[in-house]
Amino acid sequence: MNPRRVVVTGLGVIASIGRNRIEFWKNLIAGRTGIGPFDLFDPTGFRVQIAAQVRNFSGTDYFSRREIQRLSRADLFGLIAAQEALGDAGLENGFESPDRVAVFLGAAAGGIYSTEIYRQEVHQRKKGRHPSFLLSFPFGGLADQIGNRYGLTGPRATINTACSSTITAIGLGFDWVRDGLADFAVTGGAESLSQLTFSGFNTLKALDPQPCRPFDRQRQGLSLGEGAGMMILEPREKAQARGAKMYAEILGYGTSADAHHITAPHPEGYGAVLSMRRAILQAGITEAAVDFISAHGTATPANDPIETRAIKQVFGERASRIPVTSIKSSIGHCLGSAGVLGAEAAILALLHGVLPPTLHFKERDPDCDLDVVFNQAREKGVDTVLCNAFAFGGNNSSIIFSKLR
Amino acid sequence: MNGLASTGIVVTGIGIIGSLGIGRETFWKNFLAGQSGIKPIQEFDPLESKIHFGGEVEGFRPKDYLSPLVYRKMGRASRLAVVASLEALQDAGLEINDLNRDRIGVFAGTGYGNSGLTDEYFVSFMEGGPQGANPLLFADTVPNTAGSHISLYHRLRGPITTFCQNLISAELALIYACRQLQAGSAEAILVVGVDELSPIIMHAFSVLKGLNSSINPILGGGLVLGEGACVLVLERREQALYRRAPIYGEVAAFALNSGVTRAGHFEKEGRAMKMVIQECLVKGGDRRRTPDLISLSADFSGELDPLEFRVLREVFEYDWSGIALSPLKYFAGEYAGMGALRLAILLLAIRDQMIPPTVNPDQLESGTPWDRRYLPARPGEINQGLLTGFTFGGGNACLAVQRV
Repeated sequence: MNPRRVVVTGLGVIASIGRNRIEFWKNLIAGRTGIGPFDLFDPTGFRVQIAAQVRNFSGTDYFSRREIQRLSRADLFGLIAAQEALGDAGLENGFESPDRVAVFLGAAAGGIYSTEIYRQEVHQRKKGRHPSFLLSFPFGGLADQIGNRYGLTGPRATINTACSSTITAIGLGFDWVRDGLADFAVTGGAESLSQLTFSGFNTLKALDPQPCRPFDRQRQGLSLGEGAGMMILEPREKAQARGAKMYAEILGYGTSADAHHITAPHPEGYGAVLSMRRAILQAGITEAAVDFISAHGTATPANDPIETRAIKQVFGERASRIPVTSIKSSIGHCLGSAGVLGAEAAILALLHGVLPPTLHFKERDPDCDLDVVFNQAREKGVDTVLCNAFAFGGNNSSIIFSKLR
Repeated sequence: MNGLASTGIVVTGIGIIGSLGIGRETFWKNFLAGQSGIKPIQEFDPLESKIHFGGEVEGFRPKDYLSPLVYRKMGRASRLAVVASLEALQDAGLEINDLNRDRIGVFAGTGYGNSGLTDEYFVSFMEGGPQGANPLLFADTVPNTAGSHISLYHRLRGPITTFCQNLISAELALIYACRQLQAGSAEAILVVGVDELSPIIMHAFSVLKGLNSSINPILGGGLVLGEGACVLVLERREQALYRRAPIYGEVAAFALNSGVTRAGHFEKEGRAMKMVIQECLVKGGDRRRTPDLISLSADFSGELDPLEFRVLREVFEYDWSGIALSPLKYFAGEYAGMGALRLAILLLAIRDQMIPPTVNPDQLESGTPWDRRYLPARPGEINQGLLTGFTFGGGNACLAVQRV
């Protein structure tokens, strides 16, 4: 079978700045941030006490009490985003051939927040929650929840490469649909704030006490966030035949390892360069075609200048003329779901001709001398966007979306 | 199995650490001898769990293989994985240099990664508060660190990924590796399937009533947890032939699907399980072909084992008696990333033309002690092997391998 062109036909989002794709996009381009004080757990005693929480959230707003009994917070986010994405794609009533639908997700800490609550009760020797609470522990649980809820019997997989998980998961879905191994892929991921990650990034002194400031000279680190993003992928011909709305086409993706350090990025961005170049190669385009970059842009002192350096290596003298943004300043770093949320923002930018801003900018950093869309959304039609996601372990992923031609 | 198709992907190196031994040949020899890796746990005190036995790797000393500077910050799963990769690469004779390190990838399959270290980190936080959490432990809490440490140790910069899909995590890594090699995205990929036994994992499976209660397991009484790491070196056949690498066997075909289940359970009727095997056989070129040896998913589970035996009997009704069924998990315990080890055992069986210990399901009665009622290892012609991968939650995988 010849490779098929793969398009995105449905989007679903839940994040601190919006409970659906429309609210998310409106608040994103309005320059709102979800980063601030939070109450999911008590941050007293931590050096940093802010995060981008999905506030006032209750699973019962979406599902029955019985349905949510064994679901983690991340599972709930994921199911909500999947429901929206399927509805957006016009597939809410099911699939003709559910065995041809893949569910490929990404996760980092996933639903571990629920497990933590159980673990604390065990540690304190309290007679606490029912052990079925532990069912949300396995990282593959959300893929099963989505598959079982919608009766999808195609392949299921969960990728866990920390913060690059969902870009690789979208790439996997792209592979399977392009090569005819599946007719649809439900792909993306979900992540909730957790004490494990919040304390971990605090102990590593990787968090900024203020809302994160990607590419700013005064940046001190990241802000954690939570949320879910889901996408529906399908072959272009089939989407056309069923009259589905098509947001964008996936052209290619690439992954690479830094092989440098378990937490720090390669100082020259070697792995980042490789993943971007592999994506461009698979896309069958030249660097000149990329006119927008949705950056990993964590706002850590190390990431932003290294990503800048890597972008310069890949795009040469054009690098300073390509608009770059990091939506982590709006929704925090959502770890496992950071990739798909960045990708959804990029796809909506292609669609609307508006580039979302990188907030909280005050002072230019000479080591981050890219054309960053600082503080305000920019109206600019773009055709092809590169999305980056880099992770602990030096696990890098990049993917390219384009407007439909 | 006639008229075979092929993926063109071969296995050229194997590294094994498991409850039946450290090192490929030791593990294989002990398995052939019918030894059991299921023993009282020595490495930690399974405090909160009522179960005090499992398929533990005994006597594993990372300092025998790695510098303390390298392994001191790693969790046990990462250590097992890196040490297994040393053996696999040496076995494959694959020299890594600046010309090929960007083209060699690492794909991992693990259920829970460094679960012991992750729990240790969380306990340090619970006991010490925000200032007491140990930052040195945090980095290895993400499940992708086992694969990442392999890439770090050997400085491999090819494609990298980690799958965490319950009991088919390593099968997914193997299948994705085959596809990436077919697409030319890498010259070789190290596939690692790894998990560790830890107090928190023992506790979780124990309170969910998923574990067998007897060190002499009861059939259908629940699984026996194990641990280990297996690394396979996968590459395209032409490359392996070009560099005159030893070839254990070829991946003939693979398939993936899923069944609709309740959380934590297996598919009731086994319809999708049956389909995934049939699809794998069709892709392999002949639906009515019969593998010589099947590596079973069976793990003493009351749900899975009878279902798997029934599914296999239905699929191979035309030649059921001619197939040898190998239940490795009955001997070594089970871990989520075990698919790589099970594939390695199929390949070693093909290499040595030895059928490892097998079971006759007609003699296995649920609810009774297993009493190690197996048919001992014996010489036999093995040209094709099949691996079933079924997991709670609904995912299914199947891989076929063949002699080259």
